[in-house]
Amino acid sequence: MKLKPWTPLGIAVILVSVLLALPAVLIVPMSFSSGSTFQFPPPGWSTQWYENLFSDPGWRDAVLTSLKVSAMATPLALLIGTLASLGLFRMTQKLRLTGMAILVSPLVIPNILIALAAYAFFLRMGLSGTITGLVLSQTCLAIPFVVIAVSARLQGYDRSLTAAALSLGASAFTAFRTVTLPLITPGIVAGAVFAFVSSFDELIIALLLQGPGAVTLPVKMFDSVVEEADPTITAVSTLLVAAVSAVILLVQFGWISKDPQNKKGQA
Amino acid sequence: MSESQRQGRIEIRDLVLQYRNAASPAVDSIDLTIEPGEFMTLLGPSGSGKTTTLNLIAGFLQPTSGTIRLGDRDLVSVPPSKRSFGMVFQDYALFPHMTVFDNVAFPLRRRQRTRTDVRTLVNDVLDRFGLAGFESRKPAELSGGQRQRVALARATVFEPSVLLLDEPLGALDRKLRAQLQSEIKKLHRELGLTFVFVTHDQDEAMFLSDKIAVFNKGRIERVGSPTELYDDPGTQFVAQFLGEANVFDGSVEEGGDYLWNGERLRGGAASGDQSLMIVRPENVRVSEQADVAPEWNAVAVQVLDVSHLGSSTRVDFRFGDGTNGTARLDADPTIALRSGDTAWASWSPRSQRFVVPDREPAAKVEVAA
Repeated sequence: MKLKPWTPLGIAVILVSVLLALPAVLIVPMSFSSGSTFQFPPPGWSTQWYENLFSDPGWRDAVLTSLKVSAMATPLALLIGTLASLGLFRMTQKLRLTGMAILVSPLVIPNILIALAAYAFFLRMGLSGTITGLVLSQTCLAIPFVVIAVSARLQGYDRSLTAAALSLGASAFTAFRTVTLPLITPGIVAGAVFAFVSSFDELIIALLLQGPGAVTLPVKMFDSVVEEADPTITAVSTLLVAAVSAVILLVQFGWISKDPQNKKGQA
Repeated sequence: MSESQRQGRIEIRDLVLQYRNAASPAVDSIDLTIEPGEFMTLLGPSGSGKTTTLNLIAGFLQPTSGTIRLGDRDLVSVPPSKRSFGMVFQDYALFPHMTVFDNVAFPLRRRQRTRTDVRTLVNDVLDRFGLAGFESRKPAELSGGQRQRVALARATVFEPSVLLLDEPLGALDRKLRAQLQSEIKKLHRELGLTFVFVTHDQDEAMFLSDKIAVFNKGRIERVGSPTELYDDPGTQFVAQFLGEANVFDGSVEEGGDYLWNGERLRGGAASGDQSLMIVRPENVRVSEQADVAPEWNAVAVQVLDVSHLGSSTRVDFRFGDGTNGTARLDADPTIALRSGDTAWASWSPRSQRFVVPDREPAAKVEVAA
């Protein structure tokens, strides 16, 4: 069905899209403002906020810390989440649903509760205010995204493919490496993107677990708005929107069009 | 006879698979010997244990007890990847992310064959299956018949001693099915491998097999050649699963006659448990008068339906005891019988067979799986 733009449905779609995308679009001109307050439209143009972002050690360290935390939390979440999904896939329906509920629970539990629990626990373990503490808690938050994406992929996986690989002489590991893994890779990639974005973007836990040398970008952004109303945040936001959009577009157009299971569905 | 062929004898002894929370075993004390080069079909309705038995042979399931031997090797502790059986799956199980070439090369690469070997062997086998030119296609870009051929090529390229086929034609339409049945039969002749073929389709089993093992409720009812099983089924289940049968539930008289529904039928040669008498529809004649051959048995029936099937005419009727029966006559478009008529069904005592009744009371077996 082709959607015509000037029908009530078309207009509703356009309205919703504008409401969702407008803040992100308005941020871009504001980040190139020559003024020193959040003004729209900007009084003039400059790249001062970008310069500030890269020259101010506070902002630079926050970006690096966030990248470090996400870069460590993402592979951890991928490993645990993918293995957990594979394990769930082999269980009976009842166990699978129970296991799934437990693994996805960080999505349901208010982050502030997880943050408080992590804070109390990490304080005793000496992990509060450390990168390790941040990585561990962000991993826990990112696992649900991986489990959901990979499990969805496994739903469409035909178990007889593994049996076929075994019957043709592959060991269990080779069967996984050559058949299962390539077929669930799109799920793993999607999980990785969501895991990375969720941990890069996370504020509440990072706020509670922060310490000297462990201030993530969202925490720095929060502080800058609360304390100094620093327009550098518009430059950061613009870069974040651009980076995340690029990754998501890459995944959509790069991966899904090459997806063998998708093709099978069309045939 | 090559080495791999000599090795192809499969001996199954007292094989049992009992799932933990199932009331009865999925496979119940099965004994079966499959000779090298034989085409053995495991035939039965769904849930009868035939596919489970194939999966036990393939090694995807572990038996609760019993042995499976290939030649002089005990297989039970051997993982599926080391059994070296070719296997063709119901839904082909081609690797969707690999080309036809890579699919067929898969078992060779697992066996560390050289690149040159792989290329030569794969191209040879693709030629044999009429798939030359399709090397770089993905499975999704092939027709159902082509996928089936790729699956067969992949399962035979590494020269296994045994080929296991799990309802490989189930997903195809009738015409393609018939064509691939002929191809599988030809392949069996050419390769000389042992084939173990699972199906619920009795015609397919009759057409393809050297021997058929008929499964029912986890047990093997009978093993034999298609003609043996059809001509002398031995049990009511086999009689009704392989073709149709008119069933007479009576008893053998002192004099050797068979007493059924108050009538004395000639030639009651039943023995032991074989208390039911059956007659195949093609051995029954139906006529309006009782003018039958002198030695034949004849009973009055009520005609229910007359169907013209092209090459034959089928008459369905009801016996005096209320059970239904069928006769298949030579095509006779001018037949005078009509639904509701009273007629005579007759047959030669020589076409009568005696069978063991089903453990449960005689019920029409559900053929569709």
